Amino acid sequence: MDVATTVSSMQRVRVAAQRGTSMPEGIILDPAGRPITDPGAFLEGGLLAPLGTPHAPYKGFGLALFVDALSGVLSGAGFARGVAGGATGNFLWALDVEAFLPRRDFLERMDAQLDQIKQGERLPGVQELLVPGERGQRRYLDLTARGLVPLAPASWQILATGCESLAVPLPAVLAR
Amino acid sequence: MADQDQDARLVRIADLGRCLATAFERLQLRPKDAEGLSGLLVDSELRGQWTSPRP
Repeated sequence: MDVATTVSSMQRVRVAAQRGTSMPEGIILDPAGRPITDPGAFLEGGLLAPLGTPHAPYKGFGLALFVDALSGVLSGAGFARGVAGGATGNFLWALDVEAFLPRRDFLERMDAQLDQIKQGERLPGVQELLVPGERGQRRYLDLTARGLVPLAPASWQILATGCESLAVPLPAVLAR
Repeated sequence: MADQDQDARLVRIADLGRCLATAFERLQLRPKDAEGLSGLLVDSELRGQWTSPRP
């Protein structure tokens, strides 16, 4: 599961700015904290709304603070406003499953949990219930089977700039 | 592919991996590390974490 502790990830806003499209309401704020929809204005010092906005933004704020405490304060890297300088830290947390219960039991209980989700009742029009990571895993399998990867304009621009700076040839573009 | 991929450039996975690994080697990473980091980035792209970002 790969999520931001804000309603939207920064990358999603960057892609919208690159495409010249608006963001839905309630996702980005101007530097004074007022809601906006223009991603270009956001990139000039705006803020991402915390998860739970508009009814319970304190939940997202609490999660963000927790993540910052572990990956910034605890790791010795930048934290809070100090992250803006690029001193980004990471926090990796590994759990020994067998310190809690036998591995086989854990895997069986995980399968049972996911089975309940997948077999849950669905609203009309909902074809299937997906769990976190499932959409990305399907995309991964589809693309690796074809040996191809699509690069968004924003990603391509970053790649092109870096390659030019390092005198590295860009990969051949097969289609756009 | 997802709708978000419609204006994307399509490249071979192997070509992108080689390009990134070469770039990292130019930045003084050891070949093994350059290849590992390149693979990690390509893997993220294949899962849509950059091209098709979700909240």
